[in-house]
Amino acid sequence: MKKKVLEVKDLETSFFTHLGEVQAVRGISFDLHEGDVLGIVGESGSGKSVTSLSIMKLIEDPGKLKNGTVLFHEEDGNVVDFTSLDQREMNEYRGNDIAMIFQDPMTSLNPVYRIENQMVEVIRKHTDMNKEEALKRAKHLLELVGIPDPEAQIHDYPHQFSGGMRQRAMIATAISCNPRLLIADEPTTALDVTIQAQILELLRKLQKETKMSIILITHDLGVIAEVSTHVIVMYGGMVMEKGTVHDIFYTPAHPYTQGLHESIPQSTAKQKERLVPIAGSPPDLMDPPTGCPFSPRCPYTMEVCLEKASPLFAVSDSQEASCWLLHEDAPEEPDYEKAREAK
Amino acid sequence: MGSYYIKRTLSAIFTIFLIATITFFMLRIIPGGPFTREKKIPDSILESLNEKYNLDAPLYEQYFDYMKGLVTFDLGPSYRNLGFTVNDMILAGIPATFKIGALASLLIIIVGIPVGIVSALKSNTAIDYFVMFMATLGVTVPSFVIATVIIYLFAGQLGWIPTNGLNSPLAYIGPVIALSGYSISFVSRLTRSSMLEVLRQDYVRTARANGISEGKVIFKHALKNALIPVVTYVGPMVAAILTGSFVVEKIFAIPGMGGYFVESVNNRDYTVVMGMTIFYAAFYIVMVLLVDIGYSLIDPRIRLDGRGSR
Ligand SMILES: Nc1ncnc2c1ncn2[C@@H]1O[C@H](COP(=O)(O)OP(=O)(O)O)[C@@H](O)[C@H]1O
Ligand SMILES: [Mg+2]
Repeated sequence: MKKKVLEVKDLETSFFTHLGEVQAVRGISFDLHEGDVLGIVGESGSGKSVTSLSIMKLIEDPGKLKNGTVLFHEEDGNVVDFTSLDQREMNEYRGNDIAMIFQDPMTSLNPVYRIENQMVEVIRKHTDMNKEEALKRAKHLLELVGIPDPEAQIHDYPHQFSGGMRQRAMIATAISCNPRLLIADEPTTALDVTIQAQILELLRKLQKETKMSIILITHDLGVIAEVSTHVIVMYGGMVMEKGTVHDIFYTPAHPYTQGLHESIPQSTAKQKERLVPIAGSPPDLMDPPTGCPFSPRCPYTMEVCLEKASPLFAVSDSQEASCWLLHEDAPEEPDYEKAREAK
Repeated sequence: MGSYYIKRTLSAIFTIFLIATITFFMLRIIPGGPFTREKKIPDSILESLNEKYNLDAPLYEQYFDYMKGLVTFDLGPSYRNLGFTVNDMILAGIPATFKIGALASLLIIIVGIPVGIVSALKSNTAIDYFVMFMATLGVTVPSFVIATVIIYLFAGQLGWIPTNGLNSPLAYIGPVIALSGYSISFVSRLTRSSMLEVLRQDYVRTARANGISEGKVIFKHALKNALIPVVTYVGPMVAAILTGSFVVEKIFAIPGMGGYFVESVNNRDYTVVMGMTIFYAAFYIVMVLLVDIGYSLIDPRIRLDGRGSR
C-alpha cells in the first residue's frame, strides 16, 4: 500500500465580491498517494486553480476558504492540517514540502531579479546552505531541467529567457528543496506545442527520478493522457468523476467526462471537422444550480438531477462518479450513442 | 553604452543651444528694454548705456557675442544690478534654493514612498482612506495657499517659526513643507497605486508559493517593481524643486534663485533671464539623464542604448 501524501476533504472556497458570493469550489475531496500523478481536468472556470491555491493557502481577498481540511502527510508520517496553519507556518511548507508552478512563465518570474537571485533565495529559505552552496545547487538544478549553459545563464534576467526556458527555471526552483508534492497549474498552456511536449517530458522524468507526487492541472485531456496516473474531472466547482487514467479514458462513467472525450479531436487530420464541444455554457457560480451543476447541459437529465447534486457512486474499486444514473434505482442505463444521435 | 552617453550629451547641448536662441530672440521681441523706466531717462544717458552694453549693435552681432560667452560659461553682466555678473547672481541664489530644495526632495522621498506603501498594504481601511484624503488635499491645494496658511498659523498666530529668511533651522520648516506638499501627496498616491498593481502580479504569487516571508515579498519582490513609475516622476520633480519655486521663495522672503528670476523678468534684465533659463534647462536635462540611468539600474529590461529587449 502506497503512503498518502495529501487528503483533501470537503474543500469549499468562495470569493465574496461586491456582486455576491462566487462559489468557486463547492466541496471537493480526494486523496493523493506517493508517486501518483493526479491530473485535474475540466473546462476553464471549473475551479481547478482555486482548488490548488486553496491547498497552498494562497487564496487572497476577497476569497475565503469556507470549509474543509487539507491534510498533508509528511515524510516521517506526521500529518498537518494546512487549513489550521497561519501564513508564517505555511511558509515553512511552501516551496519546501509542497511547491507550485503556474500557467504563465512569462509573468511568473520577477523581472527585476536575476534567475540566480530568485533560486538562491528559495534554497536558502528552506535549507541551511550558504550562498555558494545554494548557487551550486541552483546551477545543478538548471542543468537538470535542461538549461543549456547553467553556468552563464543563471546570471541572466528572466526576460533573457524564452518562455520554455522560463518554465524550466520555474520547475527548477520548485523542485529545489525536494518537495513531496508539486502542483503544476496548466504548466504548458501558454507554450508552443513542441515546447509543451518537452516540458511534460521533463515533469515525467523528474517524477520518475524522485518520489515526488504531482498534481497536474489542465483543461486538455491530451496532456492528462500523457503523464497522469490518476484523474479528477471537475465541473462547476465540484468533482464529477475520479479514477485511474485508464478508467477515465476507457470507461468514462459521467456524461460530462464522455462529453469531454467527444470534444477533443481524435487526430490532427480530423481536427477541423470533428470538434464537438459540449453544447451550452458552464454554470453561473454566483447562483449555481441546486442539483447537479452539469444538469442544464446533460443529455440525460432526470428530475432528481435538478433537485439534488449526486453523491459519488463507486463504479469500480478505483473509479467513482457523481451521477444519478449510477444510482441503483436509476432507469436502465441509457444508450449514450443513441441518445446523442437523437439530440 | 559609451556611444549612448555621447549621443545623450550632444543632444543635451543642442537642446540648450535651441533654448538659448529662442529665449534670446523672444526677449528682444517684447517691447521695452533693461533701461526702460516709468520716468523717462534722458536720451543721452540711454544712448551711452546702450553703447556700453553693446545693445545698439545689430541683433545678430549681439546674438553671436552672447553665444560666444555661453561656450565659456560666461553668462554676461546683469544690466540692472550694476557690478554683478549673471554667474554671480546664480551662485548667490544657489545655496538658499538648493538647501530648501534638497530638504523638500528628501522629505518627498522619505515620507511619500512609505506612506504610499502603508496605504497600499492597508488598502480600503480607515488608514488608507485618511491618507488618500490628505493626499487629495495635497495635490489640489496650491503651494502658495499652503505657504500662506503656514505663515498665518505657525509664524503669525502661534509664533513657532520665523516668517521669513533662513536664519534658524526652524525657518526651513515653512518653505520646505510648502514646496514639498504637492509632491509628497502625488508620490504617495503614485506609490500606492503602483504597489497595489504589483501585488497582483504573478511573480508575487510565485514568491509566496515558494514560502518567501511576507516582509520579503513586499519589500524585495514587490517594492522594486512598484518604484519604477515612481522614479520616473521623482527625477524631473527633484529638478523642478531643487531649482526652487518663485512663489514660495517670494512668500517666505528667501534669497534664492527664484526671487532673482522673477525680478529679472520684471526688469527685462535680458542676460539674467537668459542665464537662469539656460541654467534651469541644463539642470533639468541632467536630472532626466540621471533618472534614465537610475531606471536601468532598477529595471534590467531597460537598456540605455534605447533598443528594448522584450
Ligand atoms: N479573485 C477572484 N475573484 C472572484 N472570482 C474568482 C477569483 N478567482 C477565481 N474566481 C472565480 O472562480 C471560478 C473558478 O476559477 P478557476 O479556479 O481559476 O478556474 P479554472 O478551472 O479555469 O482554473 C471562476 O468562475 C472564477 O471567475
Ligand atoms: Mg486555471
